[in-house]
Amino acid sequence: MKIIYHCYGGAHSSVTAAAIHLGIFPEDRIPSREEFWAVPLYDRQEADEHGHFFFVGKDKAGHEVFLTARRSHPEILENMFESLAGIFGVTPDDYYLVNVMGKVNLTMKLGGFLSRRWRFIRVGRPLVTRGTQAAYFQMVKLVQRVKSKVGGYGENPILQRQHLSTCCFGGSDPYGKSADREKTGWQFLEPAVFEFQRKR
Amino acid sequence: MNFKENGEGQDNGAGKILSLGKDSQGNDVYALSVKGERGMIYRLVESFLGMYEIKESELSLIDSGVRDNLYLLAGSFFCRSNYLAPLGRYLTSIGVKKHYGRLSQLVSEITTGLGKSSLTTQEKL
Repeated sequence: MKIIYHCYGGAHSSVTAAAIHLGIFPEDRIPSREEFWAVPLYDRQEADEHGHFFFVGKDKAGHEVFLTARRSHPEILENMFESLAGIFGVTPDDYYLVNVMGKVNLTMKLGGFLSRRWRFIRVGRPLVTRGTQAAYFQMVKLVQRVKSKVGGYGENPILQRQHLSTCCFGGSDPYGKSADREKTGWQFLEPAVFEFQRKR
Repeated sequence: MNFKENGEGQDNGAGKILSLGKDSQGNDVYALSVKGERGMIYRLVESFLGMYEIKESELSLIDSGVRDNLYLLAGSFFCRSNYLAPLGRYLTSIGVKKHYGRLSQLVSEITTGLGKSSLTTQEKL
């Protein structure tokens, strides 16, 4: 199944949700701002890329995780995806669109607007990161609900949380020790693959 | 499947692809409202095709280049009311007639460029 997280600009909330989904971000604590900024797509997407589906990675259940920006028209994305799926014979069970905008707070909106629209990155990025940290556990809950709906993650998703928390940035193995992965089925989780080249 | 958590956005049919039938060459013809988001729509379609490994030649996206004139805007406004809908339809028909020459020329260019076996002509937005 293809799971597509979408939000206004595809730069903050959808990136965060996708990163939580893939275990790049932990579920039991709020990542530091350096951890957010280390994610290649966080606060990076430009307006001329809106509408493009970015492949973020494959989760341990084999679902492909994407994110996209659809500005203030979620209905366009949803209707178009549904229509195109109908035309090309893609079954509704093969994709799952998740609107993350419901978890976006005012700080995220303001920071995102300053950083992406007005290019005041020095002010906007820390602000939007603070907003993302404030909304973090709501996004974790959303991702958990998505995982429980799509299935394929085993009977007790709580068990995952302990392993997800071991992830770190900057190390040689960002997904924890390889021995842990063998024990817990993490061998199915490939590192997130980003089409996006880091811009700054 | 679609996971909605809030009432953001109004579903007014934007983005829905309407099937209009087949042309004389057997190609399926669809219509789509882009709501001013031309570039985003193109990227959405292109990404969708890439995601499901569908050949680009399977779908040709043609921008009619027609924007709503005053008659079309007034027509769609009056069509919302039950009593004024006939007036709305009348105004809409006038609005479409104003664009008819341009649309008909566009269609003839497209149909001569597109064969049943090859859908390679693509007008990118």
